[in-house]
Amino acid sequence: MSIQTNMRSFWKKYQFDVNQTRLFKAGYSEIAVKHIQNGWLVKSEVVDQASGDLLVEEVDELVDGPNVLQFYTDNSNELIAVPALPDKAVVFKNNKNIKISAGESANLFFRIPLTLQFYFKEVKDENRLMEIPLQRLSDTWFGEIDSGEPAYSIGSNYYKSLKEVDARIWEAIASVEIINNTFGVLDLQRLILRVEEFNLYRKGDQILTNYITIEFKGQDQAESVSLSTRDDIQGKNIVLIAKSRLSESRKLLRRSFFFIKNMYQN
Amino acid sequence: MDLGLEKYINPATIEKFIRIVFILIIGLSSIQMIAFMLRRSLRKQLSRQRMMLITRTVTYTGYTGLVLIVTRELNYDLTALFGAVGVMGIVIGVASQTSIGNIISGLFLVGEKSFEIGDVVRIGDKSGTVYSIDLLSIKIKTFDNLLIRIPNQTVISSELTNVTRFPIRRLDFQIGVAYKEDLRKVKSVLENVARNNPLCLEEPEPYILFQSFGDSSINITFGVWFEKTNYTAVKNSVFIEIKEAFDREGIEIPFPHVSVYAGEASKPISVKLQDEK
Repeated sequence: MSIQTNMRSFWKKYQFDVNQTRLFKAGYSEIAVKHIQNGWLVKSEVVDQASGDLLVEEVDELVDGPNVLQFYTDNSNELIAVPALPDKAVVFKNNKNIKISAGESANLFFRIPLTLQFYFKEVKDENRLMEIPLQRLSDTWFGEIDSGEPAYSIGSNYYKSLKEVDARIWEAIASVEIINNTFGVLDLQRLILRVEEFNLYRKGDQILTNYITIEFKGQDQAESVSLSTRDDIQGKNIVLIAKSRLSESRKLLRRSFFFIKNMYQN
Repeated sequence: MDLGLEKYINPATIEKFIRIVFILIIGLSSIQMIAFMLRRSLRKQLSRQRMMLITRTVTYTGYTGLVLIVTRELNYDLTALFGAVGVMGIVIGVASQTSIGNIISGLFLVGEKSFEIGDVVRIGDKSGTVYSIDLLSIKIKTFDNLLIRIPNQTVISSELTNVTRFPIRRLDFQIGVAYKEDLRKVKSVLENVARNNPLCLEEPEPYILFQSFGDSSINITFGVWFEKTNYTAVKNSVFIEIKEAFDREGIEIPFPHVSVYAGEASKPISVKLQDEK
């Protein structure tokens, strides 16, 4: 039985023998993967206690049953574990009354739980076996009830500097700079981060998203959102470990803030 | 034997026949091609029923034009035909008032855009998924897989609820708790049920309203928001979780009790509890 706890040695390519089974433990998920002739058996479970580390264990046997997914592939014995951001945008709910004065900017840092993707042979869409969120985030809604968009909630935790962020090994860190380019105060109530468009980078034992700059131009105007990398955040030697789910568009005009007028009650 | 077929089968009629067949082939394929191209080009811009309306209008107009061309080729006198059609039109119009009413109602329905194919609707006491929107009626597929035809006139004069028009919905549970319960605790327990269920949207926040002091319980409306596709999963999971949470916290859900009597003059049936050994 071998256990790996290093982030680099978890997100990598694994070689399997036929009938070999490995158990991946990450976040609130435990996933057993067995390589069979021309395919894979996968069984995932949600556990109550999150794993503090990223663990891979050799286990004896994966018993076939109704909860076991079977994938027929070619005879490749390679399985690649790749981190990804959630498949929907995430929403930050400000409970601390953050306000940004006219012409000023604020840097905020957020923790976003990762998703584990398994590919066989090589990382391409058609080779993806499955993906498992390492923490099931609550569903939420961003915007008006008749015209908003679905998202996951990342709650109200935020950090003022990268050093403060106590991200767990299965979480990514998003660095967001909000520039208030209006003559009024920006009352940050709800902020949406469209994580499907963010890349993931490795810096030491941390996983970071792009550096996100959001320029607020007024309540009735779409914000300008730009994605970049910075030496002081992603590091000088940038290591891209996962590309965004959606095609990259570096400059986006979108609604990023939602201002609550009347909280949906009838 | 002379059957006198030369009168009908001669080079002139054969030529005319070939010309008509040629016109029909070209005409029909052109109409189909135009309809196909319309469907392809409008697929992303228009809803399915609007696209259907436009393509049908184009094809029916095309067929009418084709019939007129063929009729002219056959050297029929169209004036007499139009006269006959006019008279027939009056007769048919009188006889098919309901159908015409349905057609016109159908046009209003399509124009109104209250629902589209695939929406879940409630019309009167009928509920189901809109299966097709036709000239005279709409057809809905019920959840137990029956097809119901509702005339367009009925639809337009009835109250229609589109259940899946908006991406999210609120599901209300009517709950009764005993008078002895601490209502603040009940509210907190319900909030936790919504918070801990990942399918319940965190925002809009759950709706909790103490409705009334009922005959044997305090009645509460508990509404959770969810994405419309998760209806069954949310309804079942929240239902179970409310019961589990109330059991865990010792919150009583009162229910009516019935006393059984054997007859008017009889005494109540006595019930004894015995230890089972």
